[in-house]
Amino acid sequence: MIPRLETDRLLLRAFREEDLDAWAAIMADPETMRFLGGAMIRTNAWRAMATTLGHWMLKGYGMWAVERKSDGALLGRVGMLQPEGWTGLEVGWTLGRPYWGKGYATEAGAAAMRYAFLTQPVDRVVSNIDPGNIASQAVAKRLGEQKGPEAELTVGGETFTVDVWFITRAEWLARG
Amino acid sequence: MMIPRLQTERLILREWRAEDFEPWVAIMGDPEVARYLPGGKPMDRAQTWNYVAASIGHWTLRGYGAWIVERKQDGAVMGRVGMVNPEGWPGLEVGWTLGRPFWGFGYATEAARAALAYAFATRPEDRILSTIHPENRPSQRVAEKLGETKGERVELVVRGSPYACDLWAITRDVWATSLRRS
Repeated sequence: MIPRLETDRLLLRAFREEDLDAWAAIMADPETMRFLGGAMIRTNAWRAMATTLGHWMLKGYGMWAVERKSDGALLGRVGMLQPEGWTGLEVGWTLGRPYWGKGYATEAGAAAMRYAFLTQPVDRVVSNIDPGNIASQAVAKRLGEQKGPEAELTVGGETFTVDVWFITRAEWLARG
Repeated sequence: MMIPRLQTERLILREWRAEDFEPWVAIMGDPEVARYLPGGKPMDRAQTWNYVAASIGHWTLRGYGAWIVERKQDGAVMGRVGMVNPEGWPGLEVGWTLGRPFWGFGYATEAARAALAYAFATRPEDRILSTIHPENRPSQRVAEKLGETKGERVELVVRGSPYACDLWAITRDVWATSLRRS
C-alpha cells in the first residue's frame, strides 16, 4: 500500500491507470524529456508507470504521481528511486512543461526528501542531474543539495553521464 | 494490492517478491530463454530489475497480471506465467516463461492451464491470446495442449523495439468445452 503525502498545493500518490493520458503527454514532450533520454512513446509511458509501481513493492519506497489539489491535474512524477545498479538513494523529479516555474518541483521534492530521511536509514540522498539541466540544478540547490562527482548511469540499455548532487542527513537536519 | 494465489498439482502461482530478483537475473540472462522473447537478447541486471518491477506494477494498473511459478517440492522459482496486457497489446494474453532447467516437465502447460482458468473466471473477454515467436516450437506445443489455435502474424512494439510473433488464441466456448471434457 503506497502512502500519500500532502503539501500546500500538491498530493503525492500512487499512479493509477487513469493517469495514462496525462502521463503519456508529459513523457511525449521533447522539452520535458530533453535530459531524460528523449520523448517516450505511449506504450513505454505505460510501462514506466508500471515500473514505478513495482519499484515500491521491490524496495518499499518509490516515486509518486504528483496531483495538483486545486484542479486534480497530474503534474508529473516525484519521489525516491534506487533501481538495480543505481548510484544511491535518489530523490528525483519530472514535471510536465506547462507546470514549470511555479515551485512545484521544489515543493514536491522537499516532501519526498523529508520522507526519505525519515523512513530510510541513509546518510545522504542524491539527485542524478544531467550537466546541462539548469532548471533541475536550481531545484537541487533550493533543496539544499550540492554538486558532487560525475557518474555513468545505465537506463534501458543506454548510458548517460550525470552529476551526482547530494545532501547529507546532517545537512538536511540543520536546514530545520 | 493483494495478489491472489493459485495452486496446481505440483506448482504454486504467487505474488512477486524482492527475493525473486536473483532467480530472474539467471532466467532472463540465459540466451536460450531470451532468444524467443521480445528483444531476443539476454537482459542485464538493470533491465531484469525493470522487467520485474513492470510485471509487479501491471497488477496494480490492470488489476491482474502474471504470477511467479514456484515448485512445491523444493520452492524453486521456475519462471512466470499469467495474464499480460500492457498498453498497446493486441488483447488479453496468457503467457509463460520458464528457466531452462525447468523445461520438459510439463510445468508450463500445468501453470498456464491454471492461469487460463483464472482469466476466464475473472475477466469478460471471450478470447484469450498467446504471443509466440514463430520459431518457438516448445511454446507452440504448450499452446496446442491448452487448446489454442494459431492465428495471424503481427509485429508488436515492446520496450520500443519490434517483436514479430504469431497470435495464438482460445475462445471461451472452446475452453469451456475442454473443461467439461477433462
